[in-house]
Amino acid sequence: MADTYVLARYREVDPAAAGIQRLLGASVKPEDIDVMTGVPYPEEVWGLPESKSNIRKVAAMFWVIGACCGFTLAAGTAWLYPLPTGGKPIVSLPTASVIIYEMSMLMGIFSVAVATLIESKLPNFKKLPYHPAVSDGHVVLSVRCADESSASKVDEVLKASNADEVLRHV
Amino acid sequence: MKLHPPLVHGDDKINRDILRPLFETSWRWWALFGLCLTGFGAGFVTWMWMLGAGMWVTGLHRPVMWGVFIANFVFWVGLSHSGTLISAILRLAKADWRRPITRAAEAMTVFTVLMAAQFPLIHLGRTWFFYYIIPYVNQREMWGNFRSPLAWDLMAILTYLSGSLIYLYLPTVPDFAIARDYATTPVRKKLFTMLALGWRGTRKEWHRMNLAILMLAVLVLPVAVSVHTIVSWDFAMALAPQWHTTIFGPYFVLGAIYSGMALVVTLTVLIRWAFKWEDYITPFHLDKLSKIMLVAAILWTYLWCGDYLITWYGRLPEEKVIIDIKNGGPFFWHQLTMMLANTIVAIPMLAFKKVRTSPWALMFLTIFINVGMWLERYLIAVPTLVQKGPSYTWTTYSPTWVELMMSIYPFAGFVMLYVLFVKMAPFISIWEIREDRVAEAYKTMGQAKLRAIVAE
Repeated sequence: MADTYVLARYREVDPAAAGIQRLLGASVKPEDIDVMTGVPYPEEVWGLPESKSNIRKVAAMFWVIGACCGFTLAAGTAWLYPLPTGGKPIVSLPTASVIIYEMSMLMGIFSVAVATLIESKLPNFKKLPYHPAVSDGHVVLSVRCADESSASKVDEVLKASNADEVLRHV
Repeated sequence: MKLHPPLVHGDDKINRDILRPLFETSWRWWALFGLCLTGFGAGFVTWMWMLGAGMWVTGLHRPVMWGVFIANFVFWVGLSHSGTLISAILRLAKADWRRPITRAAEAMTVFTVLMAAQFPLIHLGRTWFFYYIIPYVNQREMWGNFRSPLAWDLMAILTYLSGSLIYLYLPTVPDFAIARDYATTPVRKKLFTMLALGWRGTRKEWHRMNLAILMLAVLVLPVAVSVHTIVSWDFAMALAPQWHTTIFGPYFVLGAIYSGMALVVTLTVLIRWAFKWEDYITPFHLDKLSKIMLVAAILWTYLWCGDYLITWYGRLPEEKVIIDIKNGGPFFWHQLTMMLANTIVAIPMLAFKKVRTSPWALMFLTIFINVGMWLERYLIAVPTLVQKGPSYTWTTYSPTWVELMMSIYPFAGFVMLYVLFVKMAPFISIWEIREDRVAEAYKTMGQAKLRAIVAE
């Protein structure tokens, strides 16, 4: 059976944050609660476990990979077709460093973009729980419920938390 | 085209104000777009004609093989600088006043780089041999020469263009989601749905987006500096008088920041006027931008004087002849106009708050500054070649109508892309403006009620 989502819309942040605390108090698991907002609020506002991300590590890794690719491109190709010129090395590190630098930056930038999209599960065009009021600056809580009885319980908790609107998404 | 009625009784004024240009098209937009398309088309036809006729239709001849095309290339790469650079610096510095300006500046970077990147191709003459510079192995198992500054240019510009595009697009995704929610026609709905990538504004999405923007700012910043440094090395790596100088890297970067800032201000003033966004872009923002421009103007003047004084004092024969034609010869008026625009007029005017906060004074001043900056690029490229080498090779250079048309081409192309962008994306970052309003608080101190920003 598909999960049911209960959505609650709040005009202000404080009742939404209080709503989350009520849900946690009613034994709803933190991973089942999501908050949708039109602006990025500090994570501490919601009192939920902090989101983790590996974007920094991925970027650092690809920065190094990019540097290696740059070295391979600049130095490797010079070795592949050596053109000995009097008194000059086959591989010139000062000139190769420009290519190494640009390649490392390019890979770093691309990896940040790709890692962000993968971690955020974007693009995603499935019909996921959403309320367009988010675009107007409202705060929307989304709670995943396994069955109807738990959805009804969540529904009651959210209504009691002064939500402006509570609705279902199946 | 009317906007969707308010979805809920919320504060949607910001959305409506900023999304208006996406959904409403005036005859002025069509007129401007048509004018730009005509200019761009005329330039493109000229380019195609030049390809068939050959480079003799330009004013280029031995030994002056770098003329207006290279001046245009350096000028447009320079303009691209301040967009991403200023946005990245202000984001990292958490300067809250940046919010209404960053999107316009970032878009400026992308479109100016696109224009700049065409000039090496135009300058090639035989553009169809462009692929020689792309790193691939040919049938003789030879690769491109990565020791050449031209190969560095290619790498630097590609990196900067990719980085700037990503840096423009990622922070726009949440705003595309707002446009998606407000779009009423199926085509627009579909377009913005695709561009928004399914963004819902969840806690995790915001966390990653903020982290990504921060990381991109850190990565794009040194790339921006490297691009114009590498462009300067196109000159500085040549053993030519007035080019082979160690100061060229920082001098080019500062010049780029200066001209780019001037264009950011010109565009900001025009956008503010065209869309009546006086509530979002205030004299406070113009003042801040102008102060950065003033610092850039002073530093650019310092470096120019430093370079000039040392070469003038040294009086090396090869360098003296070039200084002489700038001081009293055929390039005298170019140099005088440049100094008037970039230093003598700009610095004293920018020192006054009245000028810094007056949109129209700023617009005319910044256009004048960019005229000066274009002349500066021209003065770097041409005089050295006019009197380079033995005196029997000395010559003159006069651009032809072809080069004039090819100078109109990027202006028209840039403005055309910019006005198209107005129809494609929210021009002011809505979520950043809203974030500012959320963090805003007022504190009473004595008789005054002062604005404060709540920060982490």
